[in-house]
Amino acid sequence: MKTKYSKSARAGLSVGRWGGYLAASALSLIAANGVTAQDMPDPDSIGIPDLNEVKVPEPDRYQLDNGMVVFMVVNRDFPLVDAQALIRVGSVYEPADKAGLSSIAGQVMRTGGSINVDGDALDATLESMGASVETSIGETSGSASISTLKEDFPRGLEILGDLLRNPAFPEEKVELAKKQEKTAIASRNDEPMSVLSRELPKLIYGEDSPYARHTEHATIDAITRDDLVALHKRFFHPDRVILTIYGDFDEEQVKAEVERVFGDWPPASEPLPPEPKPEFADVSGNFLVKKGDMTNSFVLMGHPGLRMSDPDYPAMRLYHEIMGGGFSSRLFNEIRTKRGLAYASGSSAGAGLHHPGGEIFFAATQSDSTVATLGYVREEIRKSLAEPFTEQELQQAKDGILNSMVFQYSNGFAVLNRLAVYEYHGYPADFLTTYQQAIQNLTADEILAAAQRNVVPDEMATMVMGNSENFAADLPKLGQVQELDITIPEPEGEEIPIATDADLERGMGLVQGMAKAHNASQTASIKDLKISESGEFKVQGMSLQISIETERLLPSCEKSVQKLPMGEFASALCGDVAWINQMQGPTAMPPEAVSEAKKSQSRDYFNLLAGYSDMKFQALPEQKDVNGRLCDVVFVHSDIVAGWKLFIDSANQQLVQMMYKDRSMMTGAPVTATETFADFKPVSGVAWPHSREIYHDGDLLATLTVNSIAANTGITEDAFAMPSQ
Amino acid sequence: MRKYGIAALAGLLTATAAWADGFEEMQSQVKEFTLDNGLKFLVVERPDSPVFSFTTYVDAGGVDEVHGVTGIAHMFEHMAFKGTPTIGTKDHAAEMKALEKVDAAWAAYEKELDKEYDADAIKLDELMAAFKAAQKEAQEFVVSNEFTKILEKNGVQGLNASTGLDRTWYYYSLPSNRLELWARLEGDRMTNPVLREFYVERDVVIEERRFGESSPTGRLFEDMITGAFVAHPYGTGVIGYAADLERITRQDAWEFFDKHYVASNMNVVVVGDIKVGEVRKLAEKYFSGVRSGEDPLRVRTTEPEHKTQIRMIREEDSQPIYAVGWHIPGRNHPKWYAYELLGDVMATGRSSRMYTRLVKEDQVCSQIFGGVGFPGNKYPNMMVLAGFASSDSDPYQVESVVLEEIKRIVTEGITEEELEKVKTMNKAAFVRSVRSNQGLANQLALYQGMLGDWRRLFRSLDDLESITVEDVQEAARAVLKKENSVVAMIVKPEDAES
Repeated sequence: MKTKYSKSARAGLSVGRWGGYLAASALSLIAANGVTAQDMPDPDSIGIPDLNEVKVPEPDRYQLDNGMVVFMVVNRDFPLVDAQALIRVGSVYEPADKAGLSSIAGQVMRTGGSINVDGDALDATLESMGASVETSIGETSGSASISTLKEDFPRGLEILGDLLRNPAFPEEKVELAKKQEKTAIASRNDEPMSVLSRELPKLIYGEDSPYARHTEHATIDAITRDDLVALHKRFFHPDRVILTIYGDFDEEQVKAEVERVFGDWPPASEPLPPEPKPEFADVSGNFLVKKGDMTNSFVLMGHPGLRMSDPDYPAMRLYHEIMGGGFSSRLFNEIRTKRGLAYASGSSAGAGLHHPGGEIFFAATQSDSTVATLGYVREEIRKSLAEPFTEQELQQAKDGILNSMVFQYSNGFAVLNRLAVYEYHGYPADFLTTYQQAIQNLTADEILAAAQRNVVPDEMATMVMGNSENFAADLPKLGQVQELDITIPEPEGEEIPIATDADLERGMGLVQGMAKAHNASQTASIKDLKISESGEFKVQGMSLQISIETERLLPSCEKSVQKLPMGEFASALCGDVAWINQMQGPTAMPPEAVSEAKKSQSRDYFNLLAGYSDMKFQALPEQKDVNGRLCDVVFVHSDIVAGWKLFIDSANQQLVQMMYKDRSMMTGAPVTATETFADFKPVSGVAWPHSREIYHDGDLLATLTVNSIAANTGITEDAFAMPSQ
Repeated sequence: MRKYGIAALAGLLTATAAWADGFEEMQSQVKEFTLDNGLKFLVVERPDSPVFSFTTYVDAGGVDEVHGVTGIAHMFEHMAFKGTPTIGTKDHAAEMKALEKVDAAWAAYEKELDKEYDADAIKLDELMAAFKAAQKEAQEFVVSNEFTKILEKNGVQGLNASTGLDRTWYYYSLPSNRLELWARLEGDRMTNPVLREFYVERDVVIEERRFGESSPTGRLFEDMITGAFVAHPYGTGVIGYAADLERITRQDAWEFFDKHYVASNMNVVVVGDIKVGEVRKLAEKYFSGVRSGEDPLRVRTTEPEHKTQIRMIREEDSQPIYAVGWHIPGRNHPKWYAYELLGDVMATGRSSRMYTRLVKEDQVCSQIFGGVGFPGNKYPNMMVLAGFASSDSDPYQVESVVLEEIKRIVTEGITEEELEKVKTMNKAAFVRSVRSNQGLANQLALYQGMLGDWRRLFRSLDDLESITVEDVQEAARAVLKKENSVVAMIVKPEDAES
């Protein structure tokens, strides 16, 4: 469809464009002192006067008796003070099954406040001072920073010291941080860049490396307040802190403040645990990340890079400046400027101060040119390793780096923090100057030689991310492609609100009521049970008759024989004895089945009644209707059974239903199981449910009715021994 | 070292001192001059470190576009990096002829395309091939990215530009001995752009649009402005509709330039280790050619009152988000700061009402953000609040908590302590914003460009200080109404209300 606008306006535009051009030229001519378009001087001919002297701030460095290092620079231009503490700690130290611990500790150190000041009160205090205090723990260092108006600095420093020395880590803020991290996990595949930055390190260092692994619901679930307290105790000591202070303050006065806040902080009594060394995986190959909601694609190639202390670092910095550093770079010109294919392109030496990062070449492009773009990237890499860069390219890159050096020195705060970071990572204070000289002296041949040493196309991982349907036809051109699974493992249990003492008290009260209603006190008189049940079992749409004979020696020995149309299945568990017989003769029960059987035992009706007084229950806020009965809901805190809840009739205190996480018998996939109890009749005085229904994810799995049940029939452990073949 | 009126800045901390007084010294350091063509310059000498930053402000943005040509303001901004008759070309005269052929080839292609279903497919292919051939021919004359290469070689920092709905600005920093180089390059491109490589750059912008679409929040906020601004051009966003981007032409960019890049509609601010006299001399030499012309009119359309709440719900399997916006007046409203402070009380900082309720107490959100000035603030705009729903929550639960807090703020107003807190936060943010050369340049340019006088930057502190709790409550009552709001959400398909 044509808009009324397009035709007429377009026709006039051509004139307008010339009109504009002529008018501009005409005006330029009459401008008194102006230069016309054609007379603009050649930029290279414009004189460059000497630069005024760069006043590099010289920080005052000193050390407290307890080992804390302090750098300070006074700058009175603005009535502000900024301070930052670098702390020797990091996520690389945390156990794999608690990934996320350090990050959460870093967060709760601030949100939870100290033992002296509540975190929420701190928020209000700082904001009403127009100040901020932030703490965080990254991969290989921690940071705590403050920014205040001049007058508030002493108070700000006090807060900083208090948080570093006496964090409270209150349970509810730990839980809140865990919950926030779990929310982040659930959406971690939304943003393409975050997928890349998570997946790339896994290729470079290996999936399980401390330098690559990341949080999962399970690792967050495993983190407790005690872990945070232990982390703080282990890592936060003044001899592992470098403090920088910048801004408008009186040096002597602030030194006194620092002494007052940190002087009596005792140094570490134990040495730091050894830091894990990054190891490099073989990353070569093609990897595909399917992300159907992307309308463009990312292509990336890379392998491990180098540490900044590497003698090749200045050469590789220049190499990447020329390859992918900016508007002048080869990748930018070839892919974006010449072909209009990419919105973003570039490369990086991936040189880390602490350890080598990923040396990468990348581009973001439209889906249908994904593979073609990758081809252009590869071609540019190939060319860069075959021939030295031109003198012009080299000069351009050197000038760029060297002429911008003044900015590295012009910001006092940046100078100060750079010195702190150098000291932290063990670099000489004049590292930047040495680097600057090296850049100045490098030749194109030296850069080529360094690139040939450090860039190895055959050892690179190639990653492609996008909606692969749009480039599926081209993919085979890459050769073998391995898909990276970015599926987010599901959380084990649903979110349960943080338990208050009142919730726990009420939970125990409800369970006590239930126990009383079922005569739980009589469980003590039952030594063994022989139960015969029958019913229906539904599997894959079929309905099968089932009968089960169970013998139990309480509390933990159990043998059951299940009869189904296709045959008989037996299993037993008693102490170290664990076997199954699935019509092929008895064999040892596989370990995962043992753990499932133990789970099943620990959530068993009898064991619940017999052992409830030693367990932890939490009343949940809302009541729930189960089969027309209004029930109170109690969450059972169990190390063994996940997502275990009891639904107790609020009128007669009978147990109506249990819910727990289980595994599908057919597929082994996690399911939510519900088990309903009805038709209670006494067995040795204990009310025993004679009718049960079991559901998996809401679908009926089995209906079972007790035919007979007898207590104290004299069963011994011999009954559970594995039968001979 | 100089002090920016430290003694007077103590006014920061005492409620009695008039705010603008606290910045008299800083104000006195702002020097201004206007060239004969009407182009205003502001200069602040800061000799601390031998570097300088500048901002060229153009009072034109996405809001000044018309239907069918959306995205052209941003497109022009990209073109401003492509050079001039003397930068970026091997032979300007020959190149001009080649560019004419490119334009003609595109026009011919588009004419056939406009026949819609009657278009001849073979002819289209031929015309496209001719267009590509013309482009290739023109490309022969191009020295790619010469403008940026010159700057990079000279140690440029923070080289960029940005196009918003309200404005376009260009900025970077250089060592201060490159002042003349800067004046020559900046004056030239603001006077004599060539708009070469237009059609290649158009594809880059289309790619940039895809980049935004790949982000769920990008999609959400596009929904939100679409619902909020049906008549006003704020509703079309900056990046432009994909269909427009595929068709906009070099002539469209020229028209935008001719109309909006006129001296009286722009200003240039330079801050750093430079001398105002030197800047003036260089400005006269290199910026006098910037065309004087009629100041373009403001956008006429005002958004008609929406009689009912508008809800935009996107069902997709990504982070669920709840966002709500209320229509508020524009930046020039005498009580603008009542809205700004209301937004801060609600959503700025960890002790804000919404953060406290949504993140800390009810824990229905993992993070929130909000405030005024969405998607711009030159014209009546929106105060927004957005929250990322926690993993065990959903946008509907977030909404119910938000509504409780809204009700409370409307009926009870805010406290004196809250007001003092957000005022202090704003003042501290102000000081931090003018600390760097670039920060001060941007602030001065913004106030000069949008509100017509850079002094309003300092007066704004008095405006802020004058707001009372009654003003804030009145603002809350005026705008926090259901029928005045737009809701945009991303909900999981399983949580969607049927």
